[in-house]
Amino acid sequence: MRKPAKNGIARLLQIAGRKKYHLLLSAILATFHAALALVPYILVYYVIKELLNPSLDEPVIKKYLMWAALAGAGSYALLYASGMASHVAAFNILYELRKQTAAKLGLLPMGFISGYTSGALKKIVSDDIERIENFIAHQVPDFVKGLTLPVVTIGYLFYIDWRLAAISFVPLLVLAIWIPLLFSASYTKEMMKKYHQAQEDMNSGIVEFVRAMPVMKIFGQTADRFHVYSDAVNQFAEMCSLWTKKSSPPFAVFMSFMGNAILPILILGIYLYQQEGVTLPTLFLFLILGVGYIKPVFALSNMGMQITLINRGVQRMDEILSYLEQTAAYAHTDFQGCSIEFQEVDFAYVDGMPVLEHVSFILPEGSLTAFVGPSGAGKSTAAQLVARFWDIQQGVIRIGGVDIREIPVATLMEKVSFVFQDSFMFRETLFENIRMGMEKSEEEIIEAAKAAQCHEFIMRLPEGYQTRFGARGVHLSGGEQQRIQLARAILKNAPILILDEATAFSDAENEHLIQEAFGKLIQGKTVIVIAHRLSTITDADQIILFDKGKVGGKGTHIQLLEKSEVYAQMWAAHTRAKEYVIQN
Amino acid sequence: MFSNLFFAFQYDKPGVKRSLFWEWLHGSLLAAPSGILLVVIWELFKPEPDFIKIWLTIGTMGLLFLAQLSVANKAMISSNFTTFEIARKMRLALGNKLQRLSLGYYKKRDPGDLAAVALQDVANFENIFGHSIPNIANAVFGTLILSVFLIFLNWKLGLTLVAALFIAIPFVQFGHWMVNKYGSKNIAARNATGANFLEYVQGLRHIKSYGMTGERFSSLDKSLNDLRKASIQTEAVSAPFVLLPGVIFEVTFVLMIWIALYLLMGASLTIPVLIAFLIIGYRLYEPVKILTVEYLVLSYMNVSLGRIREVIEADEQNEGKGLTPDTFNIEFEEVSFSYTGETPTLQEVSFSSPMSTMTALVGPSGSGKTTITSLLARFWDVDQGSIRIGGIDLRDMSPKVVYSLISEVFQEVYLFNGSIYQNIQIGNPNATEAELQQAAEKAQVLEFANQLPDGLQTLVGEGGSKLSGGQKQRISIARALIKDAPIVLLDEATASLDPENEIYIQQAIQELVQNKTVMVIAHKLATIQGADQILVLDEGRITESGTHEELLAKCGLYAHLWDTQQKAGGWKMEGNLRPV
Repeated sequence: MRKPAKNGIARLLQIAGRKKYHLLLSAILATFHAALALVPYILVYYVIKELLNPSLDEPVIKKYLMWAALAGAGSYALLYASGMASHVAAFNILYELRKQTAAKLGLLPMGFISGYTSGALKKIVSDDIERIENFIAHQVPDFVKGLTLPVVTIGYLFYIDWRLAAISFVPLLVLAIWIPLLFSASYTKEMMKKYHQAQEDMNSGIVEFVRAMPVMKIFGQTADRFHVYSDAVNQFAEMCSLWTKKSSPPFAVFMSFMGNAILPILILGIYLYQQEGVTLPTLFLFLILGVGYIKPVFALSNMGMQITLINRGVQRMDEILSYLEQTAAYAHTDFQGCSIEFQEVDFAYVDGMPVLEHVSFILPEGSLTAFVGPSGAGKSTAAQLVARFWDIQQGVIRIGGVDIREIPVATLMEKVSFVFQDSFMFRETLFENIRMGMEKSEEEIIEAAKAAQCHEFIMRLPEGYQTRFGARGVHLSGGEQQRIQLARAILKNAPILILDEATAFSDAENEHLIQEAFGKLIQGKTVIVIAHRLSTITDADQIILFDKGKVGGKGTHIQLLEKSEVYAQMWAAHTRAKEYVIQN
Repeated sequence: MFSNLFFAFQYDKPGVKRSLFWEWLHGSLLAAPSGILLVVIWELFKPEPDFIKIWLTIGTMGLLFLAQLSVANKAMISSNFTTFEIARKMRLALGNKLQRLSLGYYKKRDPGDLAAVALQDVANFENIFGHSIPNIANAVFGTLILSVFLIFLNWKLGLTLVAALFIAIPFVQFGHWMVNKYGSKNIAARNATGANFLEYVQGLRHIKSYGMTGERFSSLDKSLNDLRKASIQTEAVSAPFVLLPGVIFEVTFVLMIWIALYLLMGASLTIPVLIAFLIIGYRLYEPVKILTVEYLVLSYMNVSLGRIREVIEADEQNEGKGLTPDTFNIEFEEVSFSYTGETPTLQEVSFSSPMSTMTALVGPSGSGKTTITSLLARFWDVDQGSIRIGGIDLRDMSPKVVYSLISEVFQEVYLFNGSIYQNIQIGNPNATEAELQQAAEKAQVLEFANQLPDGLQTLVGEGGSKLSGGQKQRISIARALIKDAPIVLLDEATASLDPENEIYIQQAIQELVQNKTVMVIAHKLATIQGADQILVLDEGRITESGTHEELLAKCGLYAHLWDTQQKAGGWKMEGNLRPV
């Protein structure tokens, strides 16, 4: 796995840079907005100047007022335009990132995806990426505004009177020293840790409480669990109160400074008015403008927290985007048949916890092999490795004598069909659900559906093959969905077939129909069956017994019964289970 | 919005009142600098200003600043404490309510979603409300005080400025109406994208193995593109209404000065008063501007409060007359039931199962088998007819009593994050160590627990994640064994879920059903040949009933099902090659 080149704000700016010109436009518009927003204040200053003139020049004042109204309205128009520019940029970037992430998922090894739940992946694409919107659409223009408004204001104030302008900095300076102190104090970090711990405890307490509730109700023990729950809730509330007690005094100082920011200007202003002849209008100008620029600056300090939040989402997205795609080293497409060979294969999902060790076997072309063994022994993993769900750490897997890492992924996929334990249906017509994008004619599809025993129930649906799965009133049983999956595999007709036998028994009424369909499907193919019920595979050409990640025995059913004690025990248990009758 | 807020307030009324008082005081203190400013300005306008008075006034402002330090602290602590207290009590109320909801409610709702109410929704309230109280209080109190003051100073100019607030309100509301309208379009687009993406990810294995990445992708791409357009549209349409109040305020302010000019010329206004308006007038709108931004966050909180209320105010099952049966025969009399209120799931189902007999339920999926067992456990109450245990109607017993009569072995098993031992103990906390060992033995738990490093003390992980399905199943049976309830409900297919452990689960079930009144949902008919009574269900009705032999003789649905299953008789896959 490759680490993303950048992170933090640099990475965010890199993402934002995709729509540089939109954002530049937004920033320019935001700057003009900030400048124009100042104009009414300045004009009011001139109005006051006029008012204090002994001779009141009415038309001039009216002209000022007209301009003030226009500038005020104009600044909002610019704000809107700036916001639109940044939002268009943001939504376009979100669209591209989502598209890219989805496309990337299609190119990654399947094993990578199975490391996530589908809910988690959806969260990344929906929520985590959505957070970037906040940065691009709001933070970037806000930052520009938060920066230009004070700079323009201060510049103008210095131009009018440098002494008063300088003193107007005092509250800002105090805050500049105060805020970092507020957040970096060691007790804050300590508290933060405890707070998060209490929150996590409460979260897991609540989740467990809710999940356990049905069981607790049945066993009449809700009260006991409620204690655990209420303790966690109370503890968290206590933590919150402690946190408040600690953090509110500094915040109170902060708020009070903000509320009284005018005080230094007032003191110096009166003094200068008294001693140095500063004019009344100037004093008023400072009283109006001198405190107005502090708030936007304060808004900037909020950005840090926002960015941390956004960053977490970006990191999760980058985990996907930076993962290496599988490539084929030589791109062999010339196969000598479809035999499968494992030679000294070692594999682990996590380093140091081997799932397969020194696994070697050969599956001749056209043979049916069953993988058996207790759960966790590695039989499903071994089957998935054939289709390169993951890359192995040691050894070689060959198809038709070629290392599968030297076969283009697309070619490999053409050679291998899967019948999974879960049958997935798309919200599309049944026709499309069987076709799965393959270039096949309508006749071929119907033929495959017939072979998979689907045709009959499909024709009973209101619109036959054109019925949309998931439409109102359309219901397919689990067994029917499995047969659709079979039809897909029959249509694909790949020379290698990997199937999970667990699919076979969820629908007892249709069991024999499914069996017929399977029979047609496996003819002439190299087949691997991940077997859970031994009676289904007693006639397999070869049975490979997995035991704790190693091959514990190979041979036919009869051979293994003699050779392997583990297998013999499994067989005995299975036979007894089959004859089970409940008696009370 | 307000009804949801008052709903939250009821959890800490004194706290809310206290917070409002402190916030009011704080808001007044925040407004104080403006008043003092005025006193100073007026003094300055006098032909010979009294500078001692001015400095004294400024000194007062300094003192008020100190007062504000402590009031701000008090107000903040009070608001936060109140918020946390409300959140705490809401969580406890939710916890209490969760204990009283019917089991049917838990079937209907995703547990993750339900937990999110106590977690995320209450947290939303916590974060937003604590933060918003000061802002709202400042906006309301500050604006109120300034408005009164300005009107008092000069009612014409004062009213002009205040009028803008009222003019802005409809625009704000219209703006939010637009946001909601386009927002719901946006949400629809977002949900469609979410659903499409979920389909894409869930089907990715299938998509990839058929090499159809491109095609599925184009439909996902389309919905992503739709979302982009909808998002931009929402922004473009709703943003002007959010910004409009600002424009109104700007223009009104200019208008106010315009009017002032005429008043000045008519000599009904003095310059110091006008200057007061110029300096303070702008401050009038600041809190309101904050509030318009705050409104969006508040409506988000409102949705969360609504979800909390929905749970707390959900219907509970009545406790009945508190009767307890002493015999355990089961009777269904003309029972009809529907989940939706429309299509009936059960229709006029009648049967009776004598004590200590076994009744098997057979029929295609969706025929109502599970509904019968769920109704017997009082997950829901029947729409019509009556269900009786030992002659007592279920509705006359409290749900708690009903649960105590019944043990269930179903496909889903929930284990706590504790030891195997603790998980069995739940069945009966008063059971002795020996009884528990015996139950573990009978339920075949010892069979695997003895191979684990810590035996019965082994931790099972969250939700039992460290165990296989069959092992969890056996623990749940051990649980049921020490509970020793007189009625056992079971799904025969539970054993087949884990074929490798099938035999053990079967043996465990065998122990559990001894001498109990048993109701079993059957898939493999061979398993229930020995039942005292077999009920064949089809589309919510009992179509046949009798013993295995009787039903075979009838040559009906049961006989047909039996035949098919016998024919399939454990299917096989045959190899193509002979010797390897």
